[in-house]
Amino acid sequence: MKKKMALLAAAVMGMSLLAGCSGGETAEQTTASEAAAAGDTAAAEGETQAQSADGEEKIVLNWLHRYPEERYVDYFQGLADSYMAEHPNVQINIEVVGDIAMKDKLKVMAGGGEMPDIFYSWPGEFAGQFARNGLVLDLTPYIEADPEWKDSISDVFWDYVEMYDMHVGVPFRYSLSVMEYNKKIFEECGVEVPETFSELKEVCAVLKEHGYIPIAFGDNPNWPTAHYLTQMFPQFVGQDVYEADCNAATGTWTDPGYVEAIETLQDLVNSGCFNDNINSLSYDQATLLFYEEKAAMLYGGSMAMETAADELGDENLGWMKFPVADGADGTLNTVCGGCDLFLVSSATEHPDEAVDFLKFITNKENQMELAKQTGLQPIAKDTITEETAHKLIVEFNDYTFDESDGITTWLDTAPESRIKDKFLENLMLIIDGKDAGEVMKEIQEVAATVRAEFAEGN
Amino acid sequence: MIKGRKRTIVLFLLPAFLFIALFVYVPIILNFYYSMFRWSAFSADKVFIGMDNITRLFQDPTIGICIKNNLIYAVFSVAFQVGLALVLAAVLEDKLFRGSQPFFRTVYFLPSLISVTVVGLLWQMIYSPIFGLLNPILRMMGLPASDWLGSQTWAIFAVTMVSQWQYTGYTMVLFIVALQKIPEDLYEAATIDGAGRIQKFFYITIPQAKEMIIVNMVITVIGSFKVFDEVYVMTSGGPGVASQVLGSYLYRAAFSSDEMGYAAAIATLLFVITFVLSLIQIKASNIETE
Repeated sequence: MKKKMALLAAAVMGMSLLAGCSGGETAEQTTASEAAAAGDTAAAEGETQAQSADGEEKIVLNWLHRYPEERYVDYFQGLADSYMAEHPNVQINIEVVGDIAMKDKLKVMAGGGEMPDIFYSWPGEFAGQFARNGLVLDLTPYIEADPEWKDSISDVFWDYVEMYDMHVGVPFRYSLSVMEYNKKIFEECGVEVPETFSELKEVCAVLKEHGYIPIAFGDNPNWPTAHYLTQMFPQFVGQDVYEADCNAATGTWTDPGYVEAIETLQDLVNSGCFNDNINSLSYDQATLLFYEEKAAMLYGGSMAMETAADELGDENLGWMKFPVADGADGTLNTVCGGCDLFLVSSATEHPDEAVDFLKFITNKENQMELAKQTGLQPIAKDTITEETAHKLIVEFNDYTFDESDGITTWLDTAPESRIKDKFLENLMLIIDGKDAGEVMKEIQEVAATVRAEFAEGN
Repeated sequence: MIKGRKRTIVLFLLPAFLFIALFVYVPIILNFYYSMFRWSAFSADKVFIGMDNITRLFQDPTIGICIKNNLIYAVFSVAFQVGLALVLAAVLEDKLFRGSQPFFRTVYFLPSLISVTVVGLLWQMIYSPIFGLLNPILRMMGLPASDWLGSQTWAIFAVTMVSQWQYTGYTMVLFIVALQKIPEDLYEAATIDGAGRIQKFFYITIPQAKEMIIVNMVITVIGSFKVFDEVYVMTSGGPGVASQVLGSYLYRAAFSSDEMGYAAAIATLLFVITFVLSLIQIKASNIETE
């Protein structure tokens, strides 16, 4: 009897242990990247009351950013250090978490009401939800008071922070997607840069005959397909329609162009323009196929062109305008992209210092260093030059700002979170050939629910 | 005197009780309460919507897929982590293998020590149809290859098998401990009566290890319903929702769709399922509690 009791106890303990384990492991995932940051937070809390040497109370700013990679983290630490050196009464505590953990962390912090003074945000709806819920400081007065600062950043990027009748934050760096190609392979196969989708399909067929993968495409995780669609939607529906649909309160997503765009992408998949197994190939692996010259084209981040040039040789790398849909009548030449923002918490005790720090990190000198040291693309005017970036990046940049129809914000950040999620759920299925009309019907249903909730005033 | 002792007992139990109440029971109740609201993590106001989230559970086709996937997980986990693990334990406990037991025990046990995230990434590579190890091996053996994690049909099975690879050795070690407690004379008596190895396994090993079998079953079945990490790391529930389980869907609802109330409703469902399952298993297995 006793033995059985003991066993039962063991079972219960085992279960709770297991619960503990699995709970622990999930926690580990989100916290692993925060581990280093946790130290900082602890330090921050300990030092909130820190006194500067002359007995004056120090101003403490907590700064949460999203660049934990080794090649970035030093630059951000350097920014804080040099600002503190100039302002001995200010102490900046950096906390840094990775891409995926950031979304969780901000939600948890917002829920707990403990936002850092300055924090990272994606553009679009992601930043919008902070604004709607009164969690961020309206920076309009600061921006208006300092025309020099305002002028140092292109309006293209200020547009990203203007929403809900306020400036929700400050743009910091941007990234764009570009279709790169291997000039050597194109020459070998005797093909020209395609300008329309039908030309693209012909080029792909020739490349395939020569044994190359025409376009390397890995959709794991989901965002590469999202970027293709971000690039293609405006061609079919028009940039203004896409932007209007990204507004949670009014977006209907009913334009028939969406279905056409998805079908066009599916047509490219079916005509063998990409490698097989798109869904389980990761973006990094696809990049590798391009670098190893097994694939002739790659649609990816423009800032990686520097690495691509290293891998393929300067003379072999080229970029092209994204091909245009035959007979489409939307906004044909937009560039898929977006910019990262920094927001100031509405609860901060030191708004002036926080904004001053944002001015500091977006000044021309520091932005040029950003490009030089990290390869990230700065938003301040005249900072991407031959001195700071690879010449192809400069070229593509000039194209984007001087010739293209503007930047279209990523499909995986621009729409309301439930609509975005429905898209994400469907992206792999789109590649698998799910009926495009069906996909958009699901999106429209979610959009209807979202609109109804907004109408209720939620 | 007795009164004093009672007070001591209460004093000793109280901290643990409060601790568990605060961190287990209060959140369970709060979770149910939260499931009656529509709210976003970003917003301070919660909109009371009654049982809407709960009824939505029953209309949401994805929930059906999740439960089906959790059941697949449970069936495989019981087959491997209870069935196969017991057989492996019995083989290693056999006189023939006792000498090499420490070696095999270690080899089988090691995967369970690796973090799930690492294992997930490792298997993602192995399953990869372009760079992976598995497809060439299958082709060599004349078996069909597939895009395992990218296929709507196979993704959930591919993920499930990784857990089996990782944890079968763990439960096997638990079984070995149980088998070592079985008195040797039972086997000797059976040998004298002319029983073979298989008969001894069915008539002595299984009945004698019954409690451990039940304990492992409870643990693996409940674990199968709570599974999250493996799915999240390898497929994030995709393609589409093909490999979504309750845990990963809950996470998606909370942190991606930002529907905290619905996530709480899924968590409530998950709690009810695991709670009922463990009750059934403990009752059915008749563990006496005096």
